[in-house]
Amino acid sequence: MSAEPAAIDAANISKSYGSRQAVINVSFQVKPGEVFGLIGPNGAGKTTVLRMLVGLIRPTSGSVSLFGHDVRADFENALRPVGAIIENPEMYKFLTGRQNLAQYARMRPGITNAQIDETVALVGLADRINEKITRYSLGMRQRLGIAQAILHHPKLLLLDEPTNGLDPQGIQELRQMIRHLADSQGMAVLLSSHLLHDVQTVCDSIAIINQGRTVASGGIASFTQGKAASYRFVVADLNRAVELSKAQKWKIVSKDETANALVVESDQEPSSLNESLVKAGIKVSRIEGVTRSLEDAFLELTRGANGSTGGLS
Amino acid sequence: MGGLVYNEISKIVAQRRFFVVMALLTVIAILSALTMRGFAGALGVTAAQMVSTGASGGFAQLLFPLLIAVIVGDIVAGELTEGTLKLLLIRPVSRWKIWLSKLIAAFFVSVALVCYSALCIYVALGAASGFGSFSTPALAEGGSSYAVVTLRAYGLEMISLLSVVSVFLLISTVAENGVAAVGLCMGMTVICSICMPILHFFSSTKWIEYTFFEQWQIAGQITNSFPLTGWTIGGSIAVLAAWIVICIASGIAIFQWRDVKS
Ligand SMILES: Nc1ncnc2c1ncn2[C@@H]1O[C@H](COP(=O)(O)OP(=O)(O)O)[C@@H](O)[C@H]1O
Ligand SMILES: [Mg+2]
Repeated sequence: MSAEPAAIDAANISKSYGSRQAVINVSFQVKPGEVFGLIGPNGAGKTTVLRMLVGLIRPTSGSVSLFGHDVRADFENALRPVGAIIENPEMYKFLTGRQNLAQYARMRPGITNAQIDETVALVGLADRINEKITRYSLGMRQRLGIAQAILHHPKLLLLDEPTNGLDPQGIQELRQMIRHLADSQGMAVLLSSHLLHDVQTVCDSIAIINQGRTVASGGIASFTQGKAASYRFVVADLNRAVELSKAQKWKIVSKDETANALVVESDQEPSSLNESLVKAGIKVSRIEGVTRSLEDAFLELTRGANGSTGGLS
Repeated sequence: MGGLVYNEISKIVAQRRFFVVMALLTVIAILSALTMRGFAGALGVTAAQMVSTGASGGFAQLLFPLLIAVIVGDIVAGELTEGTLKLLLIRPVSRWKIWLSKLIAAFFVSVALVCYSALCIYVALGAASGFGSFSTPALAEGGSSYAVVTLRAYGLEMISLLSVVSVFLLISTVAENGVAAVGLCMGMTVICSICMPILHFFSSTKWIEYTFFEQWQIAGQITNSFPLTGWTIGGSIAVLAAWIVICIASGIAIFQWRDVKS
């Protein structure tokens, strides 16, 4: 196998809007066929990163190549295998859905009417495609946005918060479609979202971005492993157990008054805490390991200097 | 490039205001044909002899530019305001091609608009005072037939139109907002039409004659209604060509380099 160039190679990209640094030294790679999540709270810099990937704005420093073609120096070749939605997919309000798609189809050679029909059916707009898009709901516009992005069977799909405006069923369908496109056509996909659970089930790997910096990246599994372990203790006297745990340098993750349970976290062995509790006369009826959720990792990583975890539902 | 120009033209003509402008033009052309009728009747001239005047004077300097401003003034800025520009610019098509296709489309639509205006004048005037013959020699305009005079006048008007759309596209590229861009194009045209005569009156400086606005009347060189003295057709073409090159070069340069954030 020859070394295939990365679908996306973002090398140390930074962007300032005036004096505001929106993105600071972000680097990541997405392999062909990989589904990659760019996750961060509102204002983290996701859209700014995507704008740089497709050449809408030029990085203040750093560079981007798509499939080995530099976006600035070799724009047409870099963008040829790409489909994208950046922020809201605004289209021409005075045209119908189909006329809008036809506009984009004419910008590439060889897109047939059959291909347009097939894409329209795939996004579930077949019965409304001949209406002016002023009559579309937000969800329908989002579907049409996805249609224009996948019309030409791209090898790289960039979707900026694609679940905006979709109902839960639409979100579910979108996830399935993304996974299907990645698995059946080997399409690389970059998804951005401020909602972790939107993407965690479809992504192979993720990068978490906060205040313009990547704070973590890697395979999904790496976020839930190798960290301090958590344990859930069900005890007879919750308040005393909490105090004792604190004294033993265990971190209290949560406590549940009704179930008389507390979740604690530490590098120490749980048996040592159990021993201490029993010695202090607190009956322990159950101990279980708790897998650290990705959500916890995300919250921890994005708990920024200004505490901005806004936008998490 | 063909597909790109087709796209741009289809976007212009799919908007309702294109038809509003065309309807307005129809009314204005018919009304001016009817005012010309008295003049034509007194001189005993026909529609074939008068239609070439529809390429000069207030038509070329004010009416056409204002109508063109309404139709294409926001052709770049409007897509920025509406947010449609970003989906347009993420295709494997360099930005300069998109800009040029917008210019060509704006030019084609403007040419169609002016040809339609000529047709309206011809039909309205012909119905009122006779169509006449294009093969009559045009004695006051050098002796060739009115067919030749008409073609030369409208031919030069095409150069004028290209400079109009080049200036407007540059304005549309610099402006951040579609409505503002249309306003700027129209405002500039109106202000020029008010200020230029005043400047001519108070100053004898020659630079005013080198503005695109003064040269937009270039077709008047054929119909003996060009307001400036001492200008040849070649001189006027050279001035307009220089403006066209300057506007296209700076328009593309700005469009190519700007950040598209909305
Ligand atoms: N056009 C712009 N002009 C100035 N600042 C901007 C602009 N767009 C975004 N920003 C700022 O850049 C930062 C990152 O924004 P953005 O990339 O839109 O974040 P996200 O997509 O993750 O919500 C924010 O602080 C935002 O206020
Ligand atoms: Mg965003």
